[in-house]
Amino acid sequence: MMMRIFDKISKIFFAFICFIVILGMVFLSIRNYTTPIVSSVVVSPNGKIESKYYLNGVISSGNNKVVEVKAARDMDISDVNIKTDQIVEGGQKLFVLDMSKSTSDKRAKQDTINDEIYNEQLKLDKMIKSLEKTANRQINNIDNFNSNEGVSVYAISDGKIKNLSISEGKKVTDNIISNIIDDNLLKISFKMTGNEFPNISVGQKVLLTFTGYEGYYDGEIISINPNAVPDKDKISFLYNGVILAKNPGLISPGVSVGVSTQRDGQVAATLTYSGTVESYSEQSPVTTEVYSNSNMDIYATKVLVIEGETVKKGQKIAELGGDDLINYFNESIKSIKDKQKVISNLRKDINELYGDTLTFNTESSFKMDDDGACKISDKIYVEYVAEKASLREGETILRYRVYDNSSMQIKLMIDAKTYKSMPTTVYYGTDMWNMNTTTKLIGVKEFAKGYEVSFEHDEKYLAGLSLNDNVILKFSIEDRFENVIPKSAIVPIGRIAVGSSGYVYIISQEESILGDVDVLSEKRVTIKAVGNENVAIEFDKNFYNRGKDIVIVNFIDSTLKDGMRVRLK
Amino acid sequence: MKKSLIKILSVIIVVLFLLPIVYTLLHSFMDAYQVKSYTASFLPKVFSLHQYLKITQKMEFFKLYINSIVISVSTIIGQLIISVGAAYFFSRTKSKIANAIFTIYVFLMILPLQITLISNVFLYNGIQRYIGITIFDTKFAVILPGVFSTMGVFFLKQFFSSMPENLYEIARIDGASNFQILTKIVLPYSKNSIFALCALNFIESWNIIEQALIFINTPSKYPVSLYLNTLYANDRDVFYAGSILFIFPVIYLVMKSKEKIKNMIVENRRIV
Repeated sequence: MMMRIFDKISKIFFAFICFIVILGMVFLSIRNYTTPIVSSVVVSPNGKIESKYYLNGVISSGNNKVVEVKAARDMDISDVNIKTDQIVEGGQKLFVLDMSKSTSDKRAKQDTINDEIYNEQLKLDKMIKSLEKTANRQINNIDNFNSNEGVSVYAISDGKIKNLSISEGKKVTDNIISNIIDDNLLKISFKMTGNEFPNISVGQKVLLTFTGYEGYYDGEIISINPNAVPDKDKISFLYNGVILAKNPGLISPGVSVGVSTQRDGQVAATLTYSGTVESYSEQSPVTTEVYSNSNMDIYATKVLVIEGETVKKGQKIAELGGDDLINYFNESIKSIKDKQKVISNLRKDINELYGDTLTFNTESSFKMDDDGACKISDKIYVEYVAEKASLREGETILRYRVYDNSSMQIKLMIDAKTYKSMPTTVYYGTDMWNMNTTTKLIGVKEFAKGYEVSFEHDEKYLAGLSLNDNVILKFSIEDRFENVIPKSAIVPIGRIAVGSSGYVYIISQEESILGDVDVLSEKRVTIKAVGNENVAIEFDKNFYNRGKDIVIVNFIDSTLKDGMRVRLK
Repeated sequence: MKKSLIKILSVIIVVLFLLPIVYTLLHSFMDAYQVKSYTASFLPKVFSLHQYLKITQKMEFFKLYINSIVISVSTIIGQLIISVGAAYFFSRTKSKIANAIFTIYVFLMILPLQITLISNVFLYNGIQRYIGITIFDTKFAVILPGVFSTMGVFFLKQFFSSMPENLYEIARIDGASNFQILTKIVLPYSKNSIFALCALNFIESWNIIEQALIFINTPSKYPVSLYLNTLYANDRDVFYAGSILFIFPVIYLVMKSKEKIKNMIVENRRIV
């Protein structure tokens, strides 16, 4: 009985064992159909990577001069009429500064200082005029005044030099250097008796006779003194008068002249007393302020005329000089400069009272009126304008570029690596699908964070673009790398980018109990270059490349694991 | 008293022989947790077929299982062909040369396995060097020594010699050739012995260890007998089921052929 049961159990058990063995063999036979199928690629040892770069650029003005307006002190902006990236026509009000912080105290102080400035300016003007008079020349800039030039003396009218009192190298002894006379007309004094006086009046024509000259010469009474004076014998009283007459020749003062009244050009009566030539009619003294204003020793360094020489008005007659004169000029200049300094300091005091409002990094046509309204005469492109109302000292209020429509460029910032690989001619356009136009690199500026590159922009190639419009620039670079694989064969850590890491699954044939099987081996790699479809990778240093051609899994999915058996498609 | 002592001794021996098998059998029904635990236990806490189900996915095991089958079956077939022919020759030839050769056969049979291994290595090297046929690292390296094993020749020669001489004479009178005598008379007559020989050969080649270790380097060509150690080290949770699967053909064969083997041994013993 027991043996039967044992037999039955053993039969069942043997049947079970047979079933297990058969089942195991079935699994073994179908293993090829249960192993995951993967496609593979061979790592290219010298593959090409074509990298296409798309960069965003902005149409900007070719005028590189950027004007930056900064607050010179803490201030408020009451109104801003422009905004960043705006093109502003010339003369438009840009913004208004709040000037209400100028207090009445400050204004009073400013008035006081202004009064002082006014007074000092008057003094300064007086000093300059005095110096001008002394030096006998106009002073436009005190710094250009040369003390060694001395004093030049000029003829004040046309005429002849008379009584020249200076000679070269000699000390000037009189303030009247010379007289300039007009010897064509003579002034003749005459006397009239009490009987003659009623018959003679001012304006009356008389006939004159000169000693040594024959005939009568015309004369005209120009003045009569109605107050009689006693004669030298004090017997009777006489009246004095003056006659103006043409000089018949070389008549000079002191010459005796016979005076007769006339009627119809004929002598009517001859006056009792003869007259005397007192002077020439026009006599201008040439004086010098130098002599009259001081006790300086003035010397005639140059005399350009001689006695009796006919001169024209404005003609230089002489030059005066001497150590005293130079010292006097130097002292005057010093005084003037001191005065100018005083005025300058007073003006600074006003500036310090308020401080400067705005500072500029370069010259500009920027203007601010008393109300704080700021304008500019040029058409500008606003690169930046402060939006907040309160500004600290040194903060930028406005940064702009003078708009120049004729020289628009494309500008963009790129990193150093892109710049080094970028060709000088690239495609550009307004969208990625329409980039048939090329543009050339025309300028590069290096900055700490990269490069600002400028490309030319011509309206005829890509019309319709205006300042600050966006454009896309495109270029591609082909390079060869050691290990190039499709992008689909890498599992990146993060995004696929140069320098980042990732994993690839290398397929290696391993000898196993089941025979040669394809086994995955997970390898960490570093991405060296990224193309549009391929990437260049670098294996870890400890990776031993057993074969020349490394086969890796393509179209990786997440089910792959290190050490997994796979079947190659 | 003496019979009782023998019986007791037999029981002890049987128990000692069966104990590892029973131990393995019982462990094969343990779950993975109990198998891997270090606490010694003989009986499974939970009867589980987990090991058997899991080992079906252990394809390496069945790959080598097939190797063992191929090696064993090839060895048996080869040895049958060689042994039957040689045994018939030695049983029917009465010359001195034949006797001398048979003596050598018997001498070789008693040589230890290690001695023949070395000569086999030399032989395989020679064949590879002079003929260009590579036997190393192939299944032939373990099949061929089994095929040319002297044990089969010895046992069959003894059996064929014990056959009644009349059978041979009648066949010759009927005009039968040696081949016809062998195939029509000798083999049918000695099928039990041949079966027993096959069973013994199978057991020997199934459990082969040393030859495979020396002659085969590629793991995929190993017999499953070499894999059990790996299975114990790496996959202990299926090791006992694997062991049962490994010993199952042997046990089955023994149980099926125990009578035939016993008869052959008795017959040989009687002849000898």
